[in-house]
Amino acid sequence: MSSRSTATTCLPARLAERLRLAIVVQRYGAEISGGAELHARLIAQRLARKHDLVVVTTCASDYVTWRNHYPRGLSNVDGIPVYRFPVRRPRDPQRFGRLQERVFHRQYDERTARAWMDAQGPYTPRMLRWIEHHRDTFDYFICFSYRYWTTWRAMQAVEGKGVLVPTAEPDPAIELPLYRAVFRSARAIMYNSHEERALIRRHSGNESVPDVVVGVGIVEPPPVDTARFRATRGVDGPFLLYIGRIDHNKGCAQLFDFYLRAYERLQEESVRPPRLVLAGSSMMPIPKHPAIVHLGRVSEQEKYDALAASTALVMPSFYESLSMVLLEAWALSRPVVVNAHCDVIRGQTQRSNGGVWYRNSAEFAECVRLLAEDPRLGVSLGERGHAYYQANYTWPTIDDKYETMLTRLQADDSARRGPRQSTS
Amino acid sequence: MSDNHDYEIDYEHIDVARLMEQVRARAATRTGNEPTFPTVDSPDLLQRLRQNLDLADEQPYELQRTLRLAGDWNIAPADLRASHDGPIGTLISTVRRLARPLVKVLVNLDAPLHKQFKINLGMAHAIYELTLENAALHCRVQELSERIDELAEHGNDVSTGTSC
Repeated sequence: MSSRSTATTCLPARLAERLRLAIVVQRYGAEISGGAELHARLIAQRLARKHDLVVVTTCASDYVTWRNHYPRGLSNVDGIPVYRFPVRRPRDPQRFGRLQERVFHRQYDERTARAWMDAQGPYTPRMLRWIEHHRDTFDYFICFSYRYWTTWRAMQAVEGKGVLVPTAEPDPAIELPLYRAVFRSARAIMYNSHEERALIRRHSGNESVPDVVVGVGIVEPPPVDTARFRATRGVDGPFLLYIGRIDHNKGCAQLFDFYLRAYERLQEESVRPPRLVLAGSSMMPIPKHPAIVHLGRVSEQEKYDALAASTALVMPSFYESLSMVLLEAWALSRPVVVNAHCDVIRGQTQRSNGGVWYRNSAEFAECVRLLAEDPRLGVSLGERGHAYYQANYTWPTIDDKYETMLTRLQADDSARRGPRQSTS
Repeated sequence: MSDNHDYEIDYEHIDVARLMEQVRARAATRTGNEPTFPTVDSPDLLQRLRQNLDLADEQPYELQRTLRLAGDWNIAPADLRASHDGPIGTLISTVRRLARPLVKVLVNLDAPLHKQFKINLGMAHAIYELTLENAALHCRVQELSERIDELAEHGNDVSTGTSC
């Protein structure tokens, strides 16, 4: 059965007091842990409690090639109907890189920009046709990740009904003129942070679009056992914890450089340096040093155990639109040490009073020294971070922001339809 | 107030912005003013390197753009009969085209032209690659220079006893 025929016959029946929502996202699956995709899945699960919701996505699981992995058509993920459409052509990294170099750094024309977008993908024309065909079936389409083909095309196809969750970072893509129309014509925008909103407003001038800074909640941490973590992994004493992919793109090379310099500096000054514990798969060489411990990939339980046992979570990334691991640290009342060059996480840390930030190795060393020498400060920062998490990122707060926005849109739409209906 | 002698911290009403002012001041006092130099992880530097190292198979055409050359930059057999003298040029070019079979019996210019075309293409590739390599090395030298300056500054501080 084709995905199109499946789609037309299996849509859930509409309930009067419920909205019909479609979430559009480039990848979707229980095993996909990418930031925006996990974000979409968590929001889908929450919205599905109150509304009739389907997910519209591709068959891809790999964000580099978009190669088809999942079977096309209707499936079910955590009780939510998921319509998958095949990616017509996988991404050619060389061609994409060449086009990206042009549109990011050289002069280019509209045709090249569109070719770049198609090359970026996931190029899924069937999905677009399905969305166009079902435009009137749904009240709103909630589209995740502004930069991908799926969102860019879907937002244009459902103009007036497209609610955008941009998950934008300050990279050159945000400056491309082809996105301005999407930011300006969105029915509403659900931002991850104040910094993201400022960034998009600066580049698109979309102040008139209804918006809210909402972000995403996290799975409530399970009960933790710090002794279990220390015994299992043989990690004693204070330690800084890094969680995530160990990658140049995540700022890890700088983290290693700064940490090793801080280690020497603290030792010279007879301060016991905390260890650096890394949890995540490695995409780059890790310095061989007795104070650097690589755990590899860890279970969710062990992640939380490690977080609770840590002196602080360290977040060296330059580009983040929202750091869920930061929220997880604050959920467990742990302080954070973040890279000041990332506006979003520095802004969150400053607003929360839940941690410290560094711009260079000297400041990194001083932050580490401060937290190592003053455990009371760590407790105090962790408590502030926890209060910020409670006030902004628990699920009832997130749910409420989505509901408020959807209600507002409905009211606006009703008011807009009213005069037309009365005159007809 | 504070358990830490170097800092003034109100643990009950902590203000991280104020704390960070103290952190920066202490960092500067302990080590001297360390410049915020770009490391190899700096996004700008990474971007430049990535831009330079993403080699395209259309490099000669990038060279054409770089040198602001209009039209085809390499030579072609059509260049032998081209003329830009307006209507007369069109006539001249037509005569040359008609005479071409006769000329070709006497001398074959296509072979050396093709050879020169290949040489030009190879040179364009080489120039482009060298330009990229030069840019990458420039990035690396800049990074190392800044690192040396930083280490020299640190060495001066240590020798004059200002680092602790």
